[in-house]
Amino acid sequence: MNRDDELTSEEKRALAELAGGPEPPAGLEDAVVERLSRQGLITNTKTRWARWAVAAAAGIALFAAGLALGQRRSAGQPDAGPAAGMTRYALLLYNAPDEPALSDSQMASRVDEYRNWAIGLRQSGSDISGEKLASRNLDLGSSAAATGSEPLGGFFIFSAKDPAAALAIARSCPHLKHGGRAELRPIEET
Amino acid sequence: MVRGNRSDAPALSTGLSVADRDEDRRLVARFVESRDEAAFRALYRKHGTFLYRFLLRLAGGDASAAEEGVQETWVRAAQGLAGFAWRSSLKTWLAGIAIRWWRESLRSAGREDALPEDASLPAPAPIRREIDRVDLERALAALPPGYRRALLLHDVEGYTHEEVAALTGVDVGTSKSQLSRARTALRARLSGRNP
Repeated sequence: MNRDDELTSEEKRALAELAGGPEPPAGLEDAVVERLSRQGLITNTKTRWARWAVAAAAGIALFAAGLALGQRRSAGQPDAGPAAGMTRYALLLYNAPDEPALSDSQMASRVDEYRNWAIGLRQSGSDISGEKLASRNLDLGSSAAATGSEPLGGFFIFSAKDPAAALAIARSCPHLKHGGRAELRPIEET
Repeated sequence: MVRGNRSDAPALSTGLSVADRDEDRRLVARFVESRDEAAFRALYRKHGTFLYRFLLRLAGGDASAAEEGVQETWVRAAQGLAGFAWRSSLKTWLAGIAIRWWRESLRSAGREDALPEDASLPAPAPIRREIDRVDLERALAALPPGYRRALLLHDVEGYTHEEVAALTGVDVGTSKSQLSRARTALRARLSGRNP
């Protein structure tokens, strides 16, 4: 390498600071242990899926957090927006009516089902990602009050080449099979 | 990052003390012997944060890919720990598994982590001003995957060229050359050019 290839002190400092960064999501450890247990790679698993843990585990591969940069993501290229010829869609999921009555193990099974759906799409080349929303609302005042009987529980963002392809993806989401309401909206790129 | 410039670092031992390695050996032996959940959780808590951050940046900030990578890396590690020969640190071995998973996932998405050659533009000057962290994260995430991998391993995680070569299956000269091009590409991004 020539002299210009060496990092300046400013460059070194900035890169060194990147060694820190975001903490792994809560629930990732339990999700890994659960998966090892299912594959027979671990014994004496005492994991008990308290509801809060299930909610956190729902963030594993199913509902992904961003990098806290506020950037748009598309297949690992955060600033790229959708690929050429593709439109991004938001699939909004409202809690299924039976969810409050589910046991922890039933909820864990459902989380697995959603997770596998999203992973399957990603393995097919989709850029799908999403977020789990907390159940609490921050009050914006009466003029902006939320409406609807079921709370918005989460959403997925994905790209599709046309509305028909987007609808096909949305209709394959296991949420619908469980009676949950969903909305599919194109994202206006700004 | 500064550590990556050491020429006297023992091969494949980046950033770990003897006590760290002893603790890793003890936990791995316990896990391999009994598949004990507590031993695994201790290993996870020791290396999980590093693995997540490493995969998050390899994946260009795609958190769902990083989480998937963390799970795959630990599954493969749990399957292979009995045969782990300690020719590297456990952390480096885990990083190697993570890199292999990431390359596989790139290939399955029709992408590669090759480093494109581009000699058409003059090399940007080294940056001698404060660099905003968010700008740096964005620039790194937007680089071609191979450039990102080269910078992460050497300049962020502090692996030597010998370690990078062992982790990625290239020779030391290639590692140096790849890093040089990756730094040029990063400077171009930070200077508002898109390599």
